[in-house]
Amino acid sequence: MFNGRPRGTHAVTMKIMPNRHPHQDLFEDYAFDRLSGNEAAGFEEHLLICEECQATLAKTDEYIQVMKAATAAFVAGHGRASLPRRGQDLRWNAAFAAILLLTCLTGLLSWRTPSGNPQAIPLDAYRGAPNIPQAAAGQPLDLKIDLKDIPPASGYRVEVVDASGRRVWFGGPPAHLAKGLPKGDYWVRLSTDSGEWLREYGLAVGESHR
Amino acid sequence: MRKMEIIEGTAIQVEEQVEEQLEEVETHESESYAEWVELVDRIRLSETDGMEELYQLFSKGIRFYLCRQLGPQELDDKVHDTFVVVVQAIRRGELREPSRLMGFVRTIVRRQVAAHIDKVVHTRRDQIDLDSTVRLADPEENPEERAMFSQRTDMINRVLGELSDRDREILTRFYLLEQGQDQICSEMALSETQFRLLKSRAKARFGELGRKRLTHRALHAVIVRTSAALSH
Repeated sequence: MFNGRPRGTHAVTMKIMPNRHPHQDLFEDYAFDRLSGNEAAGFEEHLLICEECQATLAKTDEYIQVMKAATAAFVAGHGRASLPRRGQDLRWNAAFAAILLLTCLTGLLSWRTPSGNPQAIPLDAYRGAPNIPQAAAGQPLDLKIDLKDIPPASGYRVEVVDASGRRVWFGGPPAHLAKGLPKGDYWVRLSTDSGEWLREYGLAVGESHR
Repeated sequence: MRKMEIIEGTAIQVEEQVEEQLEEVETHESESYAEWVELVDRIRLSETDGMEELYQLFSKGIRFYLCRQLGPQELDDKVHDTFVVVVQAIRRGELREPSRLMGFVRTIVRRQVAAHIDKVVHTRRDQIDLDSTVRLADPEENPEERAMFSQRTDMINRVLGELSDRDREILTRFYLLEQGQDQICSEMALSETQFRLLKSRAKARFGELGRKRLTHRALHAVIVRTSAALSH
């Protein structure tokens, strides 16, 4: 006991206090959205009035972006073997087995229910193109993306989202959607491997012509 | 016995210092809260200097938060709109505890962000027929900034190859795969302390190797220029 109070009662356990700068580790935790609700609240309240911590967070954000891009480029340049494997062999094997099984099932279903030749859908780079690209629902799609004026990158990714922004397909080019898309309006987004967004195209999927 | 006495004495000194610091913090916080209460009163009374002070206090933070969440487009308008909402809410008496002014402002700012995102999603849905090709707003608008980003990325990529496999794995897991500390420590058999030390060391190593590379490049550039000059 000390001063009539038990030891540790007022121990400095709070890392975040409105008038105190957060601990350095918390900036990355915040950037990765790993703080609890209360921790994030305290952190953001401090940020509202502290320019020093705003600058620190901005630098942290930049560092994370650069590290993401650099590690992605390293992995892309050195192949999948450079991805961490320790402790994940079982998971990778299970994942691989699941993918293989799914591929076999998909192939079997495709054989039993022919879906027709894929529709080639050119996605133009020019603004004001006369018509928004159209596709038939449920038909396989080959999205041909015009790479004119695209900055060079070690790799590209294609993401297809519906009108509410929900991802419905993701992969690298060529963008081959084996099962096509349901009827609706979509956005096709092109980005680099490191996540830098480059282009976005509209795509309207109408009634099936089967 | 003597050692135990010394250790206990040191522990008591440390605890005394902590107690003093906590009391100092509590005093400081009490003063801050009193200032919040006084500021809120002035805003409720529509005193101009109160609103000016509120703006000076929060505008940079609000701007920073909105820019980070929504990007730089129309930022001035968004900051202004948020400030107006804050002031109007305070005048309507929605801030029940003036000492919680920062939390109140934070809540309003977050609501503004959510409302803006909701509006953008609906606008896009309605405007899908207007333009079939849209270029996304690039957060790094400045070509010079893009070039610098690209250079830094390239440099770190090369430096990554010079790290140990273990250090590189930690950084790849943490930054690219966005794995948390617990998962990385569990899968790589590291303690929390080891993880933090290794990550910090890797980060420091980047700085060291990066500086060496930049120095080497600078020296190389000087040598090339000198050789070129001598050859003439």
